[in-house]
Amino acid sequence: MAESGAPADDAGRVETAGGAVALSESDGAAVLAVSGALDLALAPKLRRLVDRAARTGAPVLVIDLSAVDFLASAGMAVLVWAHRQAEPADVRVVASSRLTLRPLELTRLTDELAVFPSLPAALEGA
Amino acid sequence: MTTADGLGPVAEAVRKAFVDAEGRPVAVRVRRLDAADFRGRGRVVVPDAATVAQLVPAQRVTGAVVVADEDATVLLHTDAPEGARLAPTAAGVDAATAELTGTVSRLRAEAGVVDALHSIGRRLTAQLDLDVVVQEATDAATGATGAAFGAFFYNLIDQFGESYTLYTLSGVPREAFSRFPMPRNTAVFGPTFDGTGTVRSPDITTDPRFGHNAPYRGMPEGHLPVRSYLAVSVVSPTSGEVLGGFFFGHPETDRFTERHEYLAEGIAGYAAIALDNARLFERERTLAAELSRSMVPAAPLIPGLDLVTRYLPAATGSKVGGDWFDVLRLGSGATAFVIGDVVGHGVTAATVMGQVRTAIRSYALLELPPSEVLRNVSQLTGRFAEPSFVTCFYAVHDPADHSLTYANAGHLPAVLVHADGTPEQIGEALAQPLGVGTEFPQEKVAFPPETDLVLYTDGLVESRTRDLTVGIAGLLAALGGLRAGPDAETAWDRLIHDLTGGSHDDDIALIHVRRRDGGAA
Repeated sequence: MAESGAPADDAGRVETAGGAVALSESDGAAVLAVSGALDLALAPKLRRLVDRAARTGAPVLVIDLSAVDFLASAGMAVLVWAHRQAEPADVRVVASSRLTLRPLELTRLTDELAVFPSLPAALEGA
Repeated sequence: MTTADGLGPVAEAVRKAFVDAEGRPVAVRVRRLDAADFRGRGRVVVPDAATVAQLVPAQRVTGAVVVADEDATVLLHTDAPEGARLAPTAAGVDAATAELTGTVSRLRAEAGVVDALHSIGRRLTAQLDLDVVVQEATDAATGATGAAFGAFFYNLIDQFGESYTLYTLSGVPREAFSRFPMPRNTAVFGPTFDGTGTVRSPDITTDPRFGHNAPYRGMPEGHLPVRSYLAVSVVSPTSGEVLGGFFFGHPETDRFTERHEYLAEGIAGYAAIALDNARLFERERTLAAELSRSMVPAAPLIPGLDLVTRYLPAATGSKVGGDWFDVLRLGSGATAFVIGDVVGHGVTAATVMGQVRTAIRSYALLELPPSEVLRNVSQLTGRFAEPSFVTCFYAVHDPADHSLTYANAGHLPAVLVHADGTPEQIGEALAQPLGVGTEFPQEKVAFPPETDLVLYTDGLVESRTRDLTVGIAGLLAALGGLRAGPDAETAWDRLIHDLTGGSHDDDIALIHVRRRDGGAA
């Protein structure tokens, strides 16, 4: 079936009715900035952009959930999948608000994922 | 198609005809005219002297030609002595371009047809709502064929597998046809309903196939007058099945051309794709709901326990299929409670759910401890073809020692409501989801008579517009009151309505267990 979100600027950004993901590069790291609802509609698009980020060869991938206001299990499934991929080797997640941290804690994905409170902290890796 | 001076191709050709005796170009002036003044007088006109004097007053004009084409109407004129020889040249140009002009306008009409068809096709095939598809298609086809009215009869299959026919109309109110029976497979309608070919007739009333069938022998009394007739089948590109037919009529004879037939067939082709899409979409949605519903167990009667269970497929959208619950009586006299949620929706999620649910049942009936049940199922889940992410709360109540032993694979915490009405969340964040985690520690709490246990999925407390934390707080606050009421079933219906605002866009599953006072031990 046709994609509901129209990919813009060479598919480096995708969106759905409820959310969006944009791929950029910062300090040699690939950054996926997610906003809105990371739900069943957006999750497969995030997954494709993770693949795309991996192809850039950046050693670090930061998935920034700072602007996410709804983190559904479909979104968490993609975070786990990204973390377990061989490339990029180092996947970091930015989650600071209750809206994103609480679901990650309830599923204990915080045990496995490298979660940082802010994008600068994630880029520093500390 | 204009030159640097803004002249169209015909005007440009005429300008080149302004030459002297040696064939050298002479000075030509160009004046734009009001197109209305020369409309209908041909494309290349040599105006008489009076007209020229009026158009370009007080100028010496030896030759003048008016050219009217799609781009503009212009007067080309010169004061060169040879100008007078223009008339025969202009006539020659006119003759030479006449055919070209015809071709251009035919090509433009052709391009218009292709454009119209393309935009109708785009609109139709982007549409999954069947009612919209059929009405848009009927309107588009009626407009494109220039019919006085059009109808689209299409077949649907009801939930019992019986075929039935509906129709839409365009260009005529529904009342105009509501008194008549559905068209039958007669000699006139047959080819359309059988999908054997388009029928186009300049006057259907004189067609040899017309008027053979009782009771009407033609059109029923009061039928809109039809002379010109065009009918096209709509055939599914995937199954080859005839989905329906377009019928167009006009009270005058000889109205439908080969072009109209081509357009109607084109629109019928797009309508077939759109109908196929809409049917497949609907089928997938119904199938997922059916699958999920068919796997909802009837909660068994268990001595000493009062049970309320619910499975509500997503009320909006097509996200049906991930949630389930189970209540299992075990051989030892214990009871297992299972609630879970598979990521995803539709048939895939429903089938994963079916497999996970069966696996849990099997291990549960072996009476493995909760942590072992979930560990084994997580291993299985991790090996599915498509990686899965399943949250699940598994609890076993043993009436022998009034206990509840549970493990939780990334699911929302359960709620114990104590005898005094105080809610307590248990099993929060014990382990990762099935398919992700490997260790599932279990806990054991007292579960004496007059205690309630509530297991639920996130559809009850969370949505795009309702934060999980707020939703859980709302549920906990309401449970005390719900427990005090006499009719738990009705109370739950009301609570679900209150918590979800009456419309849930995700599945909801829930189990409410109450240990009755003095229940079997």
